[in-house]
Amino acid sequence: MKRGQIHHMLRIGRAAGRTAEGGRARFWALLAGTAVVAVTLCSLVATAATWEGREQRGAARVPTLADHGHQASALWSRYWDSYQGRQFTVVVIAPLTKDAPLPPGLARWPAPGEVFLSPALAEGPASEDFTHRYGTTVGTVSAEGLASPGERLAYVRPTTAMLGTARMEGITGYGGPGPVFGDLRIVGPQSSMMAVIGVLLGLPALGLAAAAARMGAAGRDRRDALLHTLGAGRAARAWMDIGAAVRPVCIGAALAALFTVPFLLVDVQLPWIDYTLYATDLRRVGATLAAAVAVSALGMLALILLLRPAAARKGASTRPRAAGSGLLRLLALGSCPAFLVLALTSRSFGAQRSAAAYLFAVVGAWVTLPWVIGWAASRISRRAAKSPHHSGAPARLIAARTTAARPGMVVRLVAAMIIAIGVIGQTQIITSLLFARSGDEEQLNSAQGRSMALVQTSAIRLTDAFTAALPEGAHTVAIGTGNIQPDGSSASRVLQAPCSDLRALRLPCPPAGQEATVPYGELDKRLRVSGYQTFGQTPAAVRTGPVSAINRAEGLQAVVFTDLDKPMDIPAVKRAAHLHLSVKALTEPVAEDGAKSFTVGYQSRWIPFLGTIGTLVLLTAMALAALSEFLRYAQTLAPITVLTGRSQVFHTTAFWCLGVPLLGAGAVGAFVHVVLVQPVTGGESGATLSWDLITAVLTATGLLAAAATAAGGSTAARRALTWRPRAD
Amino acid sequence: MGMVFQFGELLPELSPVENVALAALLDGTDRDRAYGESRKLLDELGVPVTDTATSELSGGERQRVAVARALIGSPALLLADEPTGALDEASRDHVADTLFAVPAARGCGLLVVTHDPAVANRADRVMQLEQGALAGAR
Repeated sequence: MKRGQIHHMLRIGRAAGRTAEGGRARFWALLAGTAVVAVTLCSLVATAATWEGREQRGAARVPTLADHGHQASALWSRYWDSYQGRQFTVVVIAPLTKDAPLPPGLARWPAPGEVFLSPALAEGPASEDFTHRYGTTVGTVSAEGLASPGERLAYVRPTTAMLGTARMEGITGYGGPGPVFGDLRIVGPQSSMMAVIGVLLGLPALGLAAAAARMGAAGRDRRDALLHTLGAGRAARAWMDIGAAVRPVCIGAALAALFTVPFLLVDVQLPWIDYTLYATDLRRVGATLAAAVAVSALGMLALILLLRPAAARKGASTRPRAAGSGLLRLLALGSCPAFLVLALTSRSFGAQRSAAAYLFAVVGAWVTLPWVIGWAASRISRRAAKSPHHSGAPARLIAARTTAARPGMVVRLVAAMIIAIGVIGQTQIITSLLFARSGDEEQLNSAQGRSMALVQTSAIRLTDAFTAALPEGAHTVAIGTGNIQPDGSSASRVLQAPCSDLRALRLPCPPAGQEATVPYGELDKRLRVSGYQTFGQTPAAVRTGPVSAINRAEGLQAVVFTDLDKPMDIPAVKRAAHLHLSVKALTEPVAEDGAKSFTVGYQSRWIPFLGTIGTLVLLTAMALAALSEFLRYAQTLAPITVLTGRSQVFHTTAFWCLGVPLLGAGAVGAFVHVVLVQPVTGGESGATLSWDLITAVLTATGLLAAAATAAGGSTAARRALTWRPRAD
Repeated sequence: MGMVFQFGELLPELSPVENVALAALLDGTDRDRAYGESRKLLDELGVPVTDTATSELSGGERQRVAVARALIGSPALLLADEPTGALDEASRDHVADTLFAVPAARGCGLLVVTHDPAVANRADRVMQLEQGALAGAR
């Protein structure tokens, strides 16, 4: 085609798009669809950039250990501290030479007893007392020294007196092959995040884009068929379709670009999930972000052309299509059961492959299910139209015939809702799967869990300064392994403390040199939880004596506790241990005890976050699809106004045409969800199917069906009032 | 009162019998009677009673279905707005024959609006509509 012709076709398309039925609604739908697709692509680019930046900065701060015989310029070590059960790294560092290189992110060497905190720690809750926990805070670690702006990290230089209380390594600089530390040890693989974004945002975005592309399709399909008959080539029709869509698509892309700009200028903290995006990382991939926006605009236009009806293609009939015709439909109908079978059998593929196969099958099943529902609705309707029961009632007769003739209508109406059920269901399943592997939130937040902490230190005995710094009413009891078996396991635990401390734990107080045995079941329940990992269900040998290391080689382990109903100031205990026992003293409250990490649960907050955004996108898609179908539906029914003045028939037909398919799709969606989650539910670390969620989904479906019936019925009744005969 | 439009205004997905019966059903007639009368009417008007969707009928057939639909309630007056405007000559004659046979066969009045003198000439009385006003009668 010549350039002039293309221009002409684009102009005609634009004019046709403006005047078409539902033209304005389609404009907004295309705009929103493009913007959401662009934002999703940008999220994927930003994720990749964030991971890359995090790894680069993480690698740059790894210490280069001094080789044997080489002069070390600083001493370096690290340990884990925790906040709300989530671990973070505290780096203990001390320069040995005047020209010792500064760790990335530090403006100067801290003096003995001084501390640099990352902004997340410096601005942490006052009750945690981060600014005094490790010494005197004199500054913050700048962004170059942090894996991400929200990372919790502290650089601590111990006082001269405390320097010798922990083992430290000699280092010569940074960026070496040493141990990676901080958030890099905690974050999951990039591919998981990409997959989560792909499923929870990508799928809804695609649904919205498809709904927008096919909105008001009936009129355009007719126009396409007419132009085809008049001899317009495929290219001419394509240019017209592009002309009709190019404006909203470009505006949508521009809006997405505008939305992205603030993220390039300042670090933005994402609401609710407490994660800060680093602008520097995003600026580095600015060109890729721009390309992502451009690709979404082009992709949207391509989708519009791809979803054009089969009838407009060469050689195809212009007669109304029967249900299940069309390659895409046949493909979907055939592959949906295959996806279901794959999901149910994916367990047998081995751990890594089965997860990928399951994800693939689940996405496939949800995407193809609307076609199956459309096909089934069409088959059922065709039979219903012939039954005396249905053919005798005007509304049921019209609904059955309309649904049988236009399975696409049902597909478009239910597609977004079906995918929404899939997204909501999978969000719940993945979240429960991750929480099953995370620590117990109830334990974490319990007052009892904060009334005892286990302190582990290389010091041999308590210091007076430590005891004086403990919160009021705190007692200390040393704990250790006793009666060690040849295989290295311990048959009992030893508890040792002065009488007053033992009594505070309701333990006996045997005379010096003797032991009293207390069975496991009679121990304070906090002790049972705290020592379970190390000691299991072993009895305790109680001794009266000073709080000092039971096994000198392991250093002192002690429980610090208050009364069961009186939560202890845990940060004060951490501070006391760090400043007065050992710079690397570990303090773990019972609330945070367990092999399970709370990090997994914390990281899984991304899933409901993205799932909620995805569901909102799908609801928009659903509203658009429903609006589009209402308009068509109203158009179809308008001539009935010739036959009756009563509006009842419009409402009843709306119930059968819109409400019943939605109700049916909701029930089928819930059923398919229950079937699809079977491979991942059950077992100790398996996901839990939430029946509350199923009930909520069915209730929401019922409400949506009622809303669609009311809106569809009243739109049709209103249209019928102003209806005038016209050429069809 | 029954009404026939220029373009039929039938529901395209329904079969001809269903389109005609729908009018009776909406009027409260029971199913068997509505379908029975519809078949009879379509038979009389020469429309094949099949399960074919109305959208697949020819223009003339569609108009005869529209006439049948207008007649099913046994109206006292049948109004027809350009009923042959979209038809070829043969179909036009067939539909006009059908329409103009109605008053004699069913004892009801017929009021037709048309541009076609050939159709108008079949009427007992013709009135001209000029500039939106009735110009005279003969």
